[in-house]
Amino acid sequence: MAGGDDPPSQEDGKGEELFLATCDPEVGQTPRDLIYRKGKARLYRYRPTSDAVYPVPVLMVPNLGISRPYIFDLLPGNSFIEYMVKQGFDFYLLDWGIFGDEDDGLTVDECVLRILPVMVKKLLENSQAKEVSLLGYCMGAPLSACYLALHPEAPVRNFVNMAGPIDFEKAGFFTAWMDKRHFDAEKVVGAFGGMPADLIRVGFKLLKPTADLSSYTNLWWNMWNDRYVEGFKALNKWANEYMPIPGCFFKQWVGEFYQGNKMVKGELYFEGRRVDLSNIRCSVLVVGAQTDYIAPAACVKAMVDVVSSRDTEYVELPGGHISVIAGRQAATIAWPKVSGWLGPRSQ
Amino acid sequence: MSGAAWAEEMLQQWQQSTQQGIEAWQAMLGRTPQPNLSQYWMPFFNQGASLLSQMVREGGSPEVLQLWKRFLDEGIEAWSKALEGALASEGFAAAFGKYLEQYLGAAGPVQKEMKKAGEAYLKALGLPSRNQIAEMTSQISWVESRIEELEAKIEGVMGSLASLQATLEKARREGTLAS
Repeated sequence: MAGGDDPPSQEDGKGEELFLATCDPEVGQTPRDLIYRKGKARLYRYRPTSDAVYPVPVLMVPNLGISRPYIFDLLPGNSFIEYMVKQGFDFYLLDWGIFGDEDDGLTVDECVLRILPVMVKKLLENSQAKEVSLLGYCMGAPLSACYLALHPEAPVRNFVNMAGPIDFEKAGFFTAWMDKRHFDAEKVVGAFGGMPADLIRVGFKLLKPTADLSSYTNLWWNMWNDRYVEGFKALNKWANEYMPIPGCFFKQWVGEFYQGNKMVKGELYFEGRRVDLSNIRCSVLVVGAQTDYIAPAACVKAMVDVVSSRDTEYVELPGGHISVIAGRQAATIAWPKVSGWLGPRSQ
Repeated sequence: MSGAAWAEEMLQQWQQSTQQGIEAWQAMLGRTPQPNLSQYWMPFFNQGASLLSQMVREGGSPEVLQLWKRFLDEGIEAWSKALEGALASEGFAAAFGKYLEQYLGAAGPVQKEMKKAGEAYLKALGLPSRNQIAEMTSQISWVESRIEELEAKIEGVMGSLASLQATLEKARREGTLAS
């Protein structure tokens, strides 16, 4: 999203008009079909656009709550999903849904033991493929890792962890702020039923208090660049649309992942079954971001040390948590890396 | 005013506002609610904005504007670094925890009361409450899970039938099927 270094010039752009326009940017335009639904969760398939499609489809598993998944399909020409489809991937997205009070009983167990397995099954039925690649982004990566660890027989050929926290002791600010001594998830859930979107907003805004100033400065600098303004509006819409997290899920997420760091220690159990990450044997690509405040590189990188896979690769890319998935830097560095790694392994 | 004088003045103002901001931030640690940090940047930011307007109106020097942008970018970066240390500190985590505690103490009961009042209002209108809808949603989810289980069982039975049929066909072809 960073603009050029040249001083602004008016040329014949209408960025100012675009910025002042009250209509919302049209996000998520890549054509897709709903394949399956379970509770609030939806499985979408993006319509292939290339002549040759890789035989191993990709299932993208994003974060649950916090933000909307249209960041992966922001705008035409600035969309990870559109890019992957054009590269020939049969691309599926798991959208966990928008949660309300009625979902406060949803647990991590249910996501890992029931929702993910059924989505993988329905995807394979729909695509007629024998295997699938999992692509976990942010919280979607540890959820996918838990699924893989508990289902070593699952037909998963490859796993890509994009900016997904694994060793939560190294999760930076969030590790410090959610320390047992200062943060009581039980109390939050007791008061609100779940983790409200407004509180999530406070936490994320605090991570980088200068972020808004920076982005508005860059916007002002690029006010005559139509494309920049359009991208800014879409990204800004996404960045301010926070989603709540269901109560039971949030308590488990904070208590067992952040405060207990149980997944990486091998002390995490779902319905009596131990999550042993060494059960993961498929090919693994781990993508960390150098200035990621949400999932710092060190906590993401831990993945390659705990799996048993022979084929592992870790890459650390410039930028932050979002710049591996959206924006100019993502399009030129991160997306080609993921596509280039997955392609030969999807034959 | 010449370009150099402009730049000098901006730099001084920037240094001053950065210093004020850092002092405010340090004073804030352990204190809630947090002040709006952008107030320390705004005068400088506004100055650049009017400079741009002037440049667009009268055709001023783009070099000065570029210099201003560079100061701002560097200043924000320096701020970011300074804040990083503060945000990762034990003091901030404790302050954040305290803030949350106070927030929950104040907002939690209000939220509960609002829910209670909302439910009473819906009941008076003869409409289902949030709890009733939540209950119904979880029942639908339960039915959905049962259907999935049944689907899986039917698939299993169909699979067994198909393999039995294949075995029978094979036996028939080989003439080993007992009559």
